[in-house]
Amino acid sequence: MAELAEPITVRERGDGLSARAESRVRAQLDVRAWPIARRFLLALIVVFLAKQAINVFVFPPFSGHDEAAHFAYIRTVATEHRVPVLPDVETWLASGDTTAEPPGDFLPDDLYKYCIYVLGWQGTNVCETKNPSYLADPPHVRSYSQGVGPVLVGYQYDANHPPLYYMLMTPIYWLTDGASIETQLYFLRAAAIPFGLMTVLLAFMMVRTLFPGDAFLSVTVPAFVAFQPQISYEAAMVNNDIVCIALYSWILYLLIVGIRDRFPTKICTLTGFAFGLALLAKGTSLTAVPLIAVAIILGVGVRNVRRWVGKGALTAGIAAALSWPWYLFMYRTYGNLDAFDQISALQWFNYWSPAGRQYPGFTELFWNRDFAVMRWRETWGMFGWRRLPLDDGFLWAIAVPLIAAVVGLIVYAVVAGMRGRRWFATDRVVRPARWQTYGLLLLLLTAVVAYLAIIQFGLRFSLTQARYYFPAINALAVLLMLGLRTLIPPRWHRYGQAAVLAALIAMNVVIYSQYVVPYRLEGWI
Amino acid sequence: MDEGDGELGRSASVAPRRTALVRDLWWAALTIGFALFVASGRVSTYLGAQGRGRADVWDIWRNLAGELPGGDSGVVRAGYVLVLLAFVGGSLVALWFALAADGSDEATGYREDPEPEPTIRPSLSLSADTP
Repeated sequence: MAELAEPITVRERGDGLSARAESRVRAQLDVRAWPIARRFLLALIVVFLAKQAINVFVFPPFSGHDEAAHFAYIRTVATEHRVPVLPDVETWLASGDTTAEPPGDFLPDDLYKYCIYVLGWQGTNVCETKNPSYLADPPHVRSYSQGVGPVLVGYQYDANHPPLYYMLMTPIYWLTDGASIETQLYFLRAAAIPFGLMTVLLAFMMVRTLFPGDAFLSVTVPAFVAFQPQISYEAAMVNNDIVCIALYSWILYLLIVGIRDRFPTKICTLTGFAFGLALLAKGTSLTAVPLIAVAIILGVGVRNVRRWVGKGALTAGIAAALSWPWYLFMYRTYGNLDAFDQISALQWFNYWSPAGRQYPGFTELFWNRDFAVMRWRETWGMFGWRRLPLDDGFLWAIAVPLIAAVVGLIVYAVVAGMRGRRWFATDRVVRPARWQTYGLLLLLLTAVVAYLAIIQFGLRFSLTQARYYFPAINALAVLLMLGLRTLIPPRWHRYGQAAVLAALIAMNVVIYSQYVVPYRLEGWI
Repeated sequence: MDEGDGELGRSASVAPRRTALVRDLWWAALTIGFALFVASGRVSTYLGAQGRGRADVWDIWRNLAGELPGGDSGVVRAGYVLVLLAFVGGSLVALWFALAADGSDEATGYREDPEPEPTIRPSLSLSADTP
């Protein structure tokens, strides 16, 4: 105890920073002293930011996924200090007077010139931007033939999204209020970039937690995320997707740390906080529930029932405390927590046929080749409302190494699970500790849940899209790069990681040089 | 024996030098390949309903400058060039680090599984301090 009784002699400077703390900060800021992997990350950040700056401007205004509707949501929050509400189509039809608009939010008239990028407004005889009467008074009610009858068009179809993203963007809307809507859009697109950057940084942090000191994974995992073209697209767009992706990535990182450290209170609190925010960003985040539950149970130990129940309750309690006002609002407004019933009634075209709606079954979609192929196309291309498909040959060039990576992952599982200790005595990545194995299983579960979730959504909505599984991007990146790493002999790893990076850069240069920029210059409608 | 040790020492110092040389050559090859592609590459372009076209890579990126919002302004064009330089320069630096990184310059921070926690709480008498 004697040492505790001695006075602490820390030299304090005038600004309150001790000499030791100052030297530590100076060492942290000395880039030349950083490990190469961290210096690589710094270069990757510069490249990512440059790419995102191009993305903000290279895509025509409002051509991103539902950008007009998200922009209108921000405007409602910024100017009317409330969230928008879906029109009640059932009551409207039941009233018998379908010439009048029902209560609820419709998109602002000044966005009608971008009707080609608006769900419901983009149809023939509805989207006529050269028709002065339509421009002056955009259509909100239309009657379709073949038994469809009267339908609403130009309504605010993103009104069921939680408000976090729109509240974060509101100050930017205010600051640019005097500018044109296009200028405002560019500023709002630029404001999405930090969330993309956060996703890349969390990929780096997660893989460094899972496999500390492994250069191959430290280089390839964040590079894969940074150069994934659709993640970049989302991170320069007016859309709540990228906030959801970033927060989901944070949750995954915390779960890996939690599995390693047996979920101390701090990690449970942060996980609950991140999950609560994610629930306020996008409903897709609900898919994190089984992941959090499994991670806590694995991390704490299945037999320690009291402990994992307590930690789970703490995590869930914090998430619920943050997000309950929104879900109470949803329940009071729509009678359910997601307003899917109301969206389904508005989107009459989902699996519509003259004989009635023909919904697919789960197994039907799961084994549907076209469904899977379309998701693959959307994962890499299909920019701007599916206007920019990548060629099949190019998609195969992406698919082949990734199929090899999946094979490599299976090889890894076999080697690490059975013979790894003898074959790779010095390679710690193929001799994972139990917590690392649990971490990898969690990432695998994340990928599976993400894909099953888009199938589940697709059972009711024909417009299910690949971007709904992008929150799992960091998990996918780790698994795929781990698979590639397994296939490359250890002494070739440095050339392998450089080849992966070079291929990712080349893929982006080709996509932009052959597709995005030429289409922007000559082909875009 | 001494002779053998000397041979070993020489080969140990030669190996990193050879690795560095191979790394330099790879990096130079990738840089030259990239420069050639940008300077003289000609690619098939996708033009939507207008079908296909062919264009020089250099022209594609040069023409984009005029299509940017405010593209007739010198400041916007300068910013555009700076962003492209940051992308190309950053990519080459990142490639250099990717070729150099082997994890040998950092502590692994590797963690084994923690000790299993007791499922039964020890009695107070066992954990009490002795005066």
